[in-house]
Amino acid sequence: MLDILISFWESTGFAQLFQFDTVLFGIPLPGHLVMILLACLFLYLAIHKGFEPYLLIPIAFGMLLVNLPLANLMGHPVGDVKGGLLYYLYQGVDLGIYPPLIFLCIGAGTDFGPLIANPKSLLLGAAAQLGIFVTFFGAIFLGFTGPEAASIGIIGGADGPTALLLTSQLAPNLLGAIAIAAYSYMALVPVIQPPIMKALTTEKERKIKMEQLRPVSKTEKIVFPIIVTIFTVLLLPDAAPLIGMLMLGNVIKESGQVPHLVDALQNSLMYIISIFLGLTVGAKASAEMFLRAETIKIIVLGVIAFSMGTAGGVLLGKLMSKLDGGKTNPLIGAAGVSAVPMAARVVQKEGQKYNPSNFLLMHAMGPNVAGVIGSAVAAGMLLLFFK
Amino acid sequence: MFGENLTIGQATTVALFSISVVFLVLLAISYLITLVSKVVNRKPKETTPAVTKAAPVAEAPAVEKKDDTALVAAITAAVAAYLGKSANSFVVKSITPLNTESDWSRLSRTSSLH
Repeated sequence: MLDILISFWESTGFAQLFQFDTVLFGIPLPGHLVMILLACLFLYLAIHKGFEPYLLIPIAFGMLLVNLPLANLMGHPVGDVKGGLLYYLYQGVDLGIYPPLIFLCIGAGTDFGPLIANPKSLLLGAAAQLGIFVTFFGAIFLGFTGPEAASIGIIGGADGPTALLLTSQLAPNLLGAIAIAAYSYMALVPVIQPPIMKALTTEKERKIKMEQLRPVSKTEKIVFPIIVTIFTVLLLPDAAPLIGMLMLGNVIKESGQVPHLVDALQNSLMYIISIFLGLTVGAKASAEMFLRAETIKIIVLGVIAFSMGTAGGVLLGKLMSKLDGGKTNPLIGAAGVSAVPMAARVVQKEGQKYNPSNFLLMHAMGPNVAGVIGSAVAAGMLLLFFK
Repeated sequence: MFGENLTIGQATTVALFSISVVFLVLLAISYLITLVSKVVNRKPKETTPAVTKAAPVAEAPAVEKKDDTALVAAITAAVAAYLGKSANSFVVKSITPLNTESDWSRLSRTSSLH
C-alpha cells in the first residue's frame, strides 16, 4: 500500500517540484519552483502594476506553464509521440512568422505623417540605435558569442517584435531572458529616459518650442511606404520580413480603401498574435535556460542598451539644434528608441515640465516611428552578419 | 558571415559598419521623402481655397422661400467644424435637403454608426 502511495507521489508534478536540480552560482536550487514563483511575480507586475499587461500576462503564463514539471508542453515530437501544445505554437516564433505579423499590425496603426513632414527626424531614429551596437560590444566583452551578443544588443532597439525575430533566428536559447528584459524595460521607459534626457540637455534647450509641422498630403503618405520598401529591401534583403510587413500594413491604412482590413489588423489580428507570441516566448523561459548567470548579464546589458540609445538620440538632437540655430528641441531625440508611442509620450511630458506651453508629441512621433525603421534596418544588418 | 566567436577587432568592425549603414539608409530615406514631397507638391496648387462642395446635410429643409442666411451660416459652421477647417476654406454653393432615404434605411445607417 505504502509502495503504491510512494509511486503515485513520484508520478505527480509535486515530487519533481522540490528537486534541487538547477545550479546557479554553485547553489543548487529547486529550478521549477523558482521559475513558478518568478512567473507569479511577473503576473503580479502585469496585472496589479499594469506593466505592459497585453504582453506580460501571456509571457508570464507561458513561463508558468512550461515550468510545471511533467506537463511537457514544449516537448518535441519524438517518433510517433506528438509534441506539446506550446511546441507547435512556438513554431510561429521559430520560423519567424509572428514578429513580422505584429509588424503588419503596427504598420496599420502607424502614422508616418510627422516623419514625412520633418525628414530630418529619421536621423534621430538612426542615432538612437547607438545603444544596440554599444551593447553588442559590451556583450562580446562579457564573453557572449557573436549571435548572442547581437540578440542582446537589439534590446536597445526598444522594439519587441524586432528583438524577438532576431533572437529567435540567432540565439533561441536566450529568447525568454531577452523578451522579458526588452518588454520590462519598455514598460520602464518613463523611468529610464527622463534622467538621461535631463543630464544631457541644458534648461534652455529643453524649453525650445518647435514650429508646427506642415500638413502632409495623402499622396505622400501612400508613396512613402512603397518607396521605403523598394529601397530598403533592395539594399538590405534581410530586413525584408520586418520592413515589408510594416509597410504593407501602412499602405493598407493609408490607401483609405479598406477600412475593415485596417480595423482587423489594428485590433483582432494584433491581439491574436500577441497572445501566441507572448505565450510561446514565455515558454522559452524554462528553469534550465533562464536560471543562469547569463540572464543577469542580459538584464544589466539591456538597461545599458536603452540608456545608450536614449543618449544617442538626445545627443544628435543637440547637434541638430546647434546646426539649425535652436529650432530643434533635443528632447525629441529620446523618442528615437522606438517603444512607440511610449517614448514620444515621455518626451511630451518632459517638454511640458520645463515649458508648459510646449507640445512636442507630434515632433517626437517622427523620430519615434523612424526608430522602428532604424531598429528593423539594424536587425537586418545583424542577421546579415550572423545568420 | 562571422563565426560564433568574435575577436574585439571583428566586433568593432561589425558595430561601426552596421551603425553607419543604419545612418546611411535612414539618411537616404529622408532624401527620398524630400524628393517625393517636392514631386508631389510641384503641381500648380489647385486654386487653393475654393474646394466647392455641395454639403450633404440632411437637416431642416427650408419649406418656404425666405431669408435663410442664418440657416446657411449654421450649416456652414457645422460643416467647417466637422471638417476641422476654417469656414473660409470652402464655399457652400447649394444646400439640398436629402429626402431620398426611407426611415428604415436611415435607422439602419445611424445604428451602424454606433
